[in-house]
Amino acid sequence: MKVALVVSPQASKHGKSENQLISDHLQDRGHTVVIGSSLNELNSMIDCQVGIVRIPDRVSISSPEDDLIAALESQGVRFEVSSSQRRVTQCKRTTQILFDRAKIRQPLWQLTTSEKMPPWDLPLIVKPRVGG
Amino acid sequence: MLSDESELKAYQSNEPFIIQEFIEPYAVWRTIANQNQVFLSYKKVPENGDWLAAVSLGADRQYHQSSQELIDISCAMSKAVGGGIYGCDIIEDQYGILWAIELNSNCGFEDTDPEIVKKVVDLIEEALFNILSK
Repeated sequence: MKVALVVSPQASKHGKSENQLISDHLQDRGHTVVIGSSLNELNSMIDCQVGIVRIPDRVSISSPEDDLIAALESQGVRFEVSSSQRRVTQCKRTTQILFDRAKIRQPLWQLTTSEKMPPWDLPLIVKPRVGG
Repeated sequence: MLSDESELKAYQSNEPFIIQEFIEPYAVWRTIANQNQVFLSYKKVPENGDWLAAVSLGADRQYHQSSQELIDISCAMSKAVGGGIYGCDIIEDQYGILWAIELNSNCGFEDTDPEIVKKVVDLIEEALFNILSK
């Protein structure tokens, strides 16, 4: 079985090390592993892609969840739309919206700009690469 | 981290960015978990008392058993984004309250964690067999 491990171009040195470890163990078990930076690159080369551990992780959202879609869109998250599902790259703001929705305790957060800082007490954490 | 007014005023970005409340960490946890279980958990202990606990910046790992609360929040974090194995960053504050910080696709394991690699590969094979059996 050929298994694809999809590695994002931004994968850290640490991530590459993880991929190599997983690849080595899969090969020890008789699988052929193809590593690449995108599924498009790999689709013609593989029998099966397993989206468990490798990047990019995608969040699938069923159409009936209109309130979630509206919440994501209000934060500027862009979707890929197929016939029954919308898919979105897992990024910081998507994750934080989904954490809020799942009622997981997380620090207050806000998508903002340099001109519009939230009125919270300092210090604040800045996450500049929000993705999406 | 923006600590004072001058840093706040000086911070400029052409792109929107996320700003987040700072939670003073008593401990910074990394768990490797999916929606059902935690495979490994360790505290990230930064050098020189720095607040930023990143192994890539020299933070040490202190392995611990996972408390039930740590298991619950880790699994919930994975489940919230549809499941899968992630490195979950979680802050424990001075009152022992756990706060979800972020998920990492690069889980944060090494060849020093052979059991974790084995479990990850087991899960990949399980998924393969599930696909093949459909």
